[in-house]
Amino acid sequence: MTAKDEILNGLAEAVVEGDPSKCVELANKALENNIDAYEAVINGCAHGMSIVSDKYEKREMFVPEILLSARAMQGAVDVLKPYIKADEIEESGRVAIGVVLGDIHDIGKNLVKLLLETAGLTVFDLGKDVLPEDFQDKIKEERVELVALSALMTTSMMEMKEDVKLFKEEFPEVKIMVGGAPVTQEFCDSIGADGYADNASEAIRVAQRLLSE
Amino acid sequence: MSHAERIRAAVDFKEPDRVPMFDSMNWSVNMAGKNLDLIGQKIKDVSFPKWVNNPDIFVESQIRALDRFDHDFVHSRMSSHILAEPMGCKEVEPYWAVPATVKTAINKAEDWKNLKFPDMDKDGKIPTQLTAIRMLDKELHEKRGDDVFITGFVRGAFTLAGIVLGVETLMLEMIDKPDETRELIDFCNDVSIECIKAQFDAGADHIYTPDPSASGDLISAKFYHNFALPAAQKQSAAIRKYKDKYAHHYHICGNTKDRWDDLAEIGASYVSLDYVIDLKEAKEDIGQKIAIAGNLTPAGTLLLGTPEKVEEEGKQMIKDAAPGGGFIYWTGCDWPIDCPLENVDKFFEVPKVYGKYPIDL
Repeated sequence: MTAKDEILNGLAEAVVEGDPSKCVELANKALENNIDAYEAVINGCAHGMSIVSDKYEKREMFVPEILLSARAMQGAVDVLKPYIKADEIEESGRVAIGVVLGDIHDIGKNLVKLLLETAGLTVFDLGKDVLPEDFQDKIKEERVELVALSALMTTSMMEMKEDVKLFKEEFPEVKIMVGGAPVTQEFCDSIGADGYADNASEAIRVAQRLLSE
Repeated sequence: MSHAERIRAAVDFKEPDRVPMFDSMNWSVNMAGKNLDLIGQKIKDVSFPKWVNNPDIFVESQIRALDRFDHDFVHSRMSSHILAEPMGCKEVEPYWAVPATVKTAINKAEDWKNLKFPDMDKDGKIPTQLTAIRMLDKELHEKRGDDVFITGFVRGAFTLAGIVLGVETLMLEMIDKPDETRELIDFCNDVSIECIKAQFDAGADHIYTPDPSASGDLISAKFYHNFALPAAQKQSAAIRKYKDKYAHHYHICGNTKDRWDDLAEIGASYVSLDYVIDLKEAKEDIGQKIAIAGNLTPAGTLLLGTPEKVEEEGKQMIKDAAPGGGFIYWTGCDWPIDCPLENVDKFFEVPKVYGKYPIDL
């Protein structure tokens, strides 16, 4: 293993362990060893978060551990960010995410947002209890390619249905994915959304699939 | 058998005359005023805020639900969290949803010392809930001589801690400040126990303590064991001590298979399980140690399915979990309030048709 691989793998590992001081230390070490900052973010930090995401799916890690990893990763990103050259950043998928109107449960949405970001996508978070017009404005303003809608209540699932109908009429080219505890693949199909994910890890794969279609 | 006899038999692992049924919870808002004619429509005769702020309307709807469905419990829950607002959170009252907490009371676990210990007779919707329980007690227990279980409600203390502090903050504070987090949970527990006692004093037979933030989708079995279990045990012991061994319904969401040993040790009368759980598997495992309840799919079947689908799933639940007692028929999480009436009618008809003991399915 080269010194570079060792540092990047170490960084990924420190993210998985949720160790903030080790993350900062290895981010600095990456810079000292002239490792490209962008590469360190992608192959160190983001790689670590993708391991975290897999472990969540396998029930080896849970929400507290994921949040710990995200916080540790942020420490490394803060060190690396000033050294990232703007032209280096690849234009990735543009996603608007939010919890639909009438629903304020946003833990799942926050988790998906976090993992989408660490997977390299550009994410616009509209928060919770989001008005359909706020989604529409964001789609126009930011050339959004994918909308991710979350609902945790059965009442807000009905809101989700109306959102999907509205967005599909106005922006037929924009893909829509849905998720949240009561939402199912069957419901997704019935309301005409393009994709459904059962959990946050799967949401990343679904987003990437929809964006590449 | 009377309602209470049926429940007690099931909890004691004896076979009652038929499978006992938990109530329709917040769906019973549809039994208020002319709401039954307006299911699926946007404008209602009785809005949710009107329902939870007027005990007379609320109680009338609960009794109508009982008369129509003949379930073995009636409900009294007035808010998502009942104690969160009185402790300092901000609550909103949507037109057609359970009142919900939108702002936490504190941002750091150690700030639990700044939380208000609510006055059960004055603060938030607690007095309204207590009034509803008193009215239900008078109408049903006293006047009718019906021993139907009046169900009171508070959150599990772990979940309540997550509401006053913010769930994501709680998740990290458990790691960063375990001692202060335990103190916060303990304070929430003390508040909840006072509220439980007030509900028993008002005439409740039974307390429903959903603990969704302790779900297997959020925290590991280890965190459950270290933080949520001790809190649930303390709450359950207080319930048993103040009332009896039939008085505690503990509910937990998500995949909880990895913590069934702990769930069996809470001390609850029965534990209700999420719809993601295979009831047959649960019956053979945790269901041997403690009575279980569940778990019809709320959104997929009750809200969006047909009466045929409700019947099929309900029948299967009875087949899987009812033999030998130790089973209470219910949904696998909160009731969607827009469920069509024909599905709800079918839901409560199934145990009357297929749930007579001895079970022969």
